[in-house]
This record gives sequence, structure tokens and C-alpha cells, in this order.
Amino acid sequence: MQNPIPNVSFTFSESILKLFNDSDTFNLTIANGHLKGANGSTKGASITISNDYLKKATDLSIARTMIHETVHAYLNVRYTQVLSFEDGFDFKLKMEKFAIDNGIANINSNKFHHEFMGQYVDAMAASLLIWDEKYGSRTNLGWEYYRSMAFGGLNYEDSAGNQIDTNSFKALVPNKSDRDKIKNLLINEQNGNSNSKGSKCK
Amino acid sequence: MGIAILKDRSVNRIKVFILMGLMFNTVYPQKKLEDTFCMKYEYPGDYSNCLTFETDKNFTYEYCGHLGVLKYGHGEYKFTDSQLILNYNKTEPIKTGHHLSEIWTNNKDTIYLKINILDFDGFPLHGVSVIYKDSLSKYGYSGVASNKEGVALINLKKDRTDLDFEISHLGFNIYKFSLDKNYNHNISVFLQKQGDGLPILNQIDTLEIVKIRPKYFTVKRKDGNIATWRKLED
Repeated sequence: MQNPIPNVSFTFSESILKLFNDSDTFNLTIANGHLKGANGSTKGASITISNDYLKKATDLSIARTMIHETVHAYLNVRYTQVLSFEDGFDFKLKMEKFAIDNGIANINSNKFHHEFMGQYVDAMAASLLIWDEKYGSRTNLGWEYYRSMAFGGLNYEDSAGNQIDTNSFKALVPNKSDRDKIKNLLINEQNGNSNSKGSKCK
Repeated sequence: MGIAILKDRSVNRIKVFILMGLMFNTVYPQKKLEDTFCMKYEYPGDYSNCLTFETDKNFTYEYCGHLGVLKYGHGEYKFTDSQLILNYNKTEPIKTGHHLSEIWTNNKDTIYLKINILDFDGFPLHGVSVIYKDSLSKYGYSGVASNKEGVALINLKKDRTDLDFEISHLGFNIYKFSLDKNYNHNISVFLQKQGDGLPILNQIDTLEIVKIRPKYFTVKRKDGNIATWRKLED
């Protein structure tokens, strides 16, 4: 891995993109495709964004989904390419400890990834804010709005088919009505409806 | 008199309609659904849970999340009075990661391990992490990465214990195995791609239908809640 260029700082999502860009061993691929219901999906470091979602979502929602999916790719690479990182074993063992502490059997599961991702909510929010200032609305919609967007996807399904908020989401936003507001905000941006603040892609 | 004849004709017509209805039900007892129906989520966008009725007999099922396919299956379905019965009897089992070993022995006090890592198409995988338990190292593990030919070479001191290996590579499921440290090994490890899901086979699911319409149907779940499966529009 190359050392970061001095005096150049990156957001969390930019650092992930740089990590893949600098690697000779692993590549990040991003494509659109037909997904029946999910906005995005990540196998290894191959990200697919749903065609239907791209048609209706705002650019802000698409950016937050891209950030979320790159974090999945990041967790996948950190867990599998142990020898590619100086702190490879340390990070892998921390992931395993987190899984044990939270009663999660499978690290390659939606539940693990979304629980673990709670630690990155602020980093994802900052990535989205800076993206929006640089490439999106070119304004600032307020920290809380970007932070709310960063909670997107932090859920899993139980065996009965119920969508459950992750414990990390509950810990960061303890009030259920606040979490529901966040989820509705995410739906507004996802559907690009009149309550959304992002713009539709042209 | 005239009124009585008209009444007789009406009664006969009703009888004919009832008879036709009974015949239709006998000849075509099966309700029919076409195309793909997906479970409606309160907050959509994270999961898809879809049934595709391919013919009047066969269906496919696919359940996906952020990390790809979770479960899938193929089989035959039928409707009874208020039930949709899904018989997963046509799904192919999936091949998982596996390895083949060749061993030999000699009087040296070290063992030689050659580990070839390949995908299911036989292509060598470069940069694969081959890690094994090592009580002497800082984190309790040591490892080597496979070279461009997909080969990892390891020399270890011979002893009577088993050695636990973990082979991991981005985009593939982690594969674990152990080997006897008494012998030299030439091992080929075949890694399974990640995110292809678990096949469902030899399972029968019975969904209690509450309502059925051309564009959706609702079912009563085991927890008593009603789930809606909506037709996927193009």
C-alpha cells in the first residue's frame, strides 16, 4: 500500500476509493443492474446499483447508497485480505470480537455489517456532506440531514421477516419516533418525492 | 301463465350457470398467478424477497440483501382453497469450497506445504490470504499470500499436532481446513464465490392466503401479521 500524500486529507469514502485504487491485488467495480427490490448490493467489492432505484432516487440518496455499499466492500476487504494491511490481523480479530460480543455468528452477514457500520455513521455523514458540497446541491443541508442519511440500511431481517433496526442504530438514536423520522426521510430521498431535498439526476 | 314460463326459464338459466361454474372448477381447480411477486416492505430498498411463477406449475424464489443472494429455490407450486403450497423440489444443491490433498512423508524434521488456490473454473487466485494458527506470533496467526500462479509455499517444523488453516480472498467465501503436521502436503483449494446464496431443497412451505388479486396477494404469517406480495411491474 502506498503512503498517503502529505497534507492531502480524504473523507472516509474517498479513503476507501483510494485504498482500492492503489491496490494491485483487489479491485472495486461499480455497475448498474437489475435488482428486484434492494437499492444496492455488494459481493466482495463488486457493487451493483439497482436500475429502478437510479431512475427515481435523488442524487443525494444515490450518493449515500454508494457510500454505504463501498463500506460493505471495505469490510469485505478488511476481513479477507488480512495480509494486505499492516494491521490486518488486529482489525480481523476486532471484527471477530465485535461479532462475539454482539452474538452474531456470521461476519459475512447483513446483520454483522450493519451493526459494525454504526461506528462509521459520522464518517459516512461527513463523506456525504463533502460530496454534496463538491458535486451535489453545492450547498449545505445541515449536519443532521447528512447524518440521518448515513443511517440508511442499518437494519436486518429476523427469521419471521420483520425489519429490525440494528442495535447500533438504536444506540445512536434511542427514540423510536426519531428513527422512524430518519427512515421516512430516507424513503423521501429514495423515491425522489416532493419532500426530498436532493435533486433528481438528469 | 306467461310469468310462470319466464320464471322457469330464469331458474333453468341459473342452473346452467351453476353447472358451468362447477364444471369450470372441476376442470380448472388451480388459481393462477403469473410473473414475479415481491414482498412489500414498510421501508423498502434493503431486501428483496420474490416469488416468480414461471408456468402454471413451476416457481422460483429468491431472497436478497445488501451482500447478494441469501437464499433461493426452485420447485412446484399449487393453490388449494386458501393456501399457496411451495414445494422446493427442483433446486440444485450448490458446490461449496473444498480441497484435495496429496501427502508424502520423509525423515526430515520439517514439512513442506504447497497450497494451490483456484476458483471453481480452475483459475489461480493471486493475493489470497493463507493464514494458520501460530502461537508464537503476536496475534496468534501467521500467513502468506498466494503468488501470481495462485501458489502459497510454507515450511514448518514437523510435529504431531493438526494445523488449522483459513483461506480468504475478496469475493469468495472463507474456507477453513486442518492438516496433519506429520506429512508434507500438496493441496489444491477451490474457493466458492461469495453472495450466491443458500439453495432451499426438500422443503414445503404453506402460505395461508388471505386475499388474492391480479396485482398482489396477501398471506398470514406465522406471527399473525399480514404480508403483502406485490406484482413486480416492468
